[in-house]
Amino acid sequence: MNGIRSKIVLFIGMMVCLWACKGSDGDKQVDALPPMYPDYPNVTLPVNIAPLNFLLRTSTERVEVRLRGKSGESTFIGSNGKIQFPEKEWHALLQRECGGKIEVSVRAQQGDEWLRYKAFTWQIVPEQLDTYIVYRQISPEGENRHVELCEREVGNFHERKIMQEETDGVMPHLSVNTLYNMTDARSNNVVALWMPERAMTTSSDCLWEYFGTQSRLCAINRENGQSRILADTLSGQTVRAFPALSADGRSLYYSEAPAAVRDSLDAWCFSIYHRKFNSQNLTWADAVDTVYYSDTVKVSAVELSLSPDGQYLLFATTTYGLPSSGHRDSDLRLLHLDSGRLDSLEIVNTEAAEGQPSWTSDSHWFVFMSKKGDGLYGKPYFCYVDSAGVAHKPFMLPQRDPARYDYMLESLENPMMVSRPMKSDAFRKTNKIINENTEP
Amino acid sequence: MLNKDTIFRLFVALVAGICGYLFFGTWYPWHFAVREQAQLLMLTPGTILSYMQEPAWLACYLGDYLTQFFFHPRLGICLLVVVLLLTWWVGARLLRRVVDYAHIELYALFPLAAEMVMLGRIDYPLSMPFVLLLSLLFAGICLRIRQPAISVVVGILVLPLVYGLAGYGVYLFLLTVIAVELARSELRLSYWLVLAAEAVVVPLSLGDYFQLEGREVFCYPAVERVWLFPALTWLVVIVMLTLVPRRRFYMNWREQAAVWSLSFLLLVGGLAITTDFHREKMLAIGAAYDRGEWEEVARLAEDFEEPDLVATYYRNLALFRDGQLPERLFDYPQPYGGRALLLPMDTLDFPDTFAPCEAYFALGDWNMARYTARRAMEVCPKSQSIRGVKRLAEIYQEASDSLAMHKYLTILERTWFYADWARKQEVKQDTTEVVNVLLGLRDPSDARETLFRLVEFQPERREVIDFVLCYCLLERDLASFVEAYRRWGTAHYSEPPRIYAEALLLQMPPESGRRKQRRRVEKLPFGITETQMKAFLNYRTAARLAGHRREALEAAYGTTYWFYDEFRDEK
Repeated sequence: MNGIRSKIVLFIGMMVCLWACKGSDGDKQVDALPPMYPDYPNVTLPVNIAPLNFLLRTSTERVEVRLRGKSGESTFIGSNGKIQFPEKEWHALLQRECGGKIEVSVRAQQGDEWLRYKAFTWQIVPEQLDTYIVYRQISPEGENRHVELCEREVGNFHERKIMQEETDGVMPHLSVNTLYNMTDARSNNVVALWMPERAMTTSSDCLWEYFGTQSRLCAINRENGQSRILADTLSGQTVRAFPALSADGRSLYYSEAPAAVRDSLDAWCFSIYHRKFNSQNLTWADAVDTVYYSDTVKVSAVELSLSPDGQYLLFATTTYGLPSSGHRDSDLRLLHLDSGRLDSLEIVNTEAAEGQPSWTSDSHWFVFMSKKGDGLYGKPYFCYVDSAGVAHKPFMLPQRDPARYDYMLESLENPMMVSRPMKSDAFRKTNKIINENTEP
Repeated sequence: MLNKDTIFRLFVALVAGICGYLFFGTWYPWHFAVREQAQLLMLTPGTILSYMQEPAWLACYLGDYLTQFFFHPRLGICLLVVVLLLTWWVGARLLRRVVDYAHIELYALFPLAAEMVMLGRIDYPLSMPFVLLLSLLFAGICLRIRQPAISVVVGILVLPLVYGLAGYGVYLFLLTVIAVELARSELRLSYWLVLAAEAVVVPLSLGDYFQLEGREVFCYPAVERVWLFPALTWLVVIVMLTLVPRRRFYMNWREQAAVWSLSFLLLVGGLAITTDFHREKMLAIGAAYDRGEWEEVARLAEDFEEPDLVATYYRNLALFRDGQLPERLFDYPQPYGGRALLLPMDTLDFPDTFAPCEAYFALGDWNMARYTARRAMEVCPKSQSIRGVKRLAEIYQEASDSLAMHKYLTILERTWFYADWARKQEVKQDTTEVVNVLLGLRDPSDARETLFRLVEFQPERREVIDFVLCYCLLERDLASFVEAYRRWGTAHYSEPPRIYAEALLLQMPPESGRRKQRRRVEKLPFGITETQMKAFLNYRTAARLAGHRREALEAAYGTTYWFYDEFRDEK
């Protein structure tokens, strides 16, 4: 009896094995990367990133993803073309594979057929992102009467609104920058990029309402409330904007352009300058270094971000004018300050707008806004810069539902990394300090 | 066989249902249709999760879910009436637990009438009837439990749930439970106190999580105090009946008539306050324009006793789309000048904010069209609107921007009633992108510049030239009119349409004397005919003889540009 039973068990076992083998052997090989959204093939990931959930842009029923690394192999199954990795398993995997590569192979079922796409890799690096990302949620082309400031943990999908405000056409004064400095103080001084008119643009591709020349650079000491206007161009011939203060508070980079003239707005270009800065008495030196001269390259350099270690200056370039978000042709540039080498970041830039860069505290990652995909809505991307100063392929902030970006009607702009959660009243408090200290 | 009570209930339900359907479905449908246009409900799990981030999420979700059915206004009204009748039925069942009147159903008509009154307001969301329904349903479930210990546990556990699902309905739940138990003479003071304490603590403790401040914590989703009217009506009815001595009796016909009359008075009086038939007519015009029924737009616009800016605007646009703008522009009063062709956004409130986009869309000014579409969306209750999304998809379709178009089509594909439309759309291969780019750098408040640039890049579109010429006429900017006519109009007209000729004639220097006038007729520019010139001379003579009095000239010259130029009433 036992013999018969064991033979039946053996037979069933063999049938199962045969069925399992048939499943993978019968796959149709596709000599292309999977049509996945977001674009995650061959990206470099920090060890503390949330699961890279994705979907396949084909009429797929089931998806099978095999992740193979030095510690072994894991398989994940998804339905309706979507893969959502369990958070615990994902983080354990990244920890195990830290410093190495994960090979990702994707199989997708279409009807009765299984397609096996070309495998790709994820490189896991030990350098972490700061714990939180803060961004503005705004309408991409309206007047931004409704603005939300959100904070998201990069290690999971928890998002909260720090502030939501009905504005009167004017955006909060670079609230994210201000909050950033409030909570993640790398220097004792807050540099407020305070440009009341900056955000009054209607943000459509070419419609531009910024015809004034009003901007001013201010330095404020947060602790004693002392302030000083560094460059007041309310009635002058020059516009200065986008200050970037070094971590030691001794160098100030900023963009400067002649006052805009409406008829020649399309030739209105910003250059980048540098001055020595004294953070004790809030003064800057008279001597000016030209870092990037727009007249020679015929592009406008805006939205500066200086890495905390002082090695790199990131900025956006557009054909003319101010913020990058309204220009489809805006791209990022990375300037190596020690060698003067300018990296055109071909691996980062696309046909859509890229801009609003910001560094993490360890200077190995930067986050930026890209409108890749639909060309209209900003999404945060993370890019790794290795010790040799080489930028790796960036990846989009992952979402629990990978289709979320498809359905969003808000643009996620001005992304910034912070290491501690924001206090809900930080925005109002900081804005109050700025307003009190910078009234004409 | 149905017993008398059931027949009576059916009769009450039938009367209430017919009243509701007749009023909202026949006389007031567009107020509901515009709600459907001003929301965006995608049928995705993410949508439900986003609703769960707020209190009263089920009421809000059900309200928005019902709203989408107003894509077919009459279907939406039917479903709304069903929801209202369900609320009435649940309310009547609860009232029957308070006092065992034979015709107690009549009293449940009061909150029903109050709900219908509030629905007359355009800002009253359809989530509110669900708040009442859900809170009464939960109260009814708790009150069905006969074992005291179990009912206490269930009550304490259910109350936070009611707050999560129906917001301020938690107080309706609490007071209904207390009222019914009082009527049953079940005095459980400590249980009520625990519930009351919970009803205060739960909203307060969740306030931070839901980012609600002050009074909002207790009243959500009732943003306006007046929205609480149906809930208060329900409380008044149940408290009043609780105070009545508990005995069984039948209402005689006088009492029944009194309750019928009072609820009817409440309904009619309330609706007289909350409804806005002027806006209803406006919304009807907008809907007719949306359907492309140009004649219907003109007919509806005539219903206004006084000319209205938005109605005039829609009628002018309908004339434009119908290719009759120059022929019929002055057949109607035009007291608003150029605003009746390019509607300014700043002076408009929801739901009129959707209107300005139509002109830019019809003209092919994609930049301004998408800008105004987004502005309109921003003033919608949740800054989202299916009408805005559909319009944006159409704009990017016309502008041959497939990536952007697909973004909006993907959203529409996840909705119930627009999915089929979205799947059928294809990118149009066009050269309008050039226009799109070149129109960019300009001052959007300068309508003349915008329009002139628009014609400059598509001079072959006669209807756009007509639009610009008519705009100049309405603005009485004859210099710009003559410039535009000379640059673009002459290529399309060998003989100018009547109102153009009238405007051109006004620009000619006055001459007197028969010989001079004859010489002038011989040298008429722009193909102006002798008949047109003679009519102008006749008008001048008539005006002089009448002492330039409006009344004397209106009958004969009321539809001429000369009359408009001389007597336009500015508004």
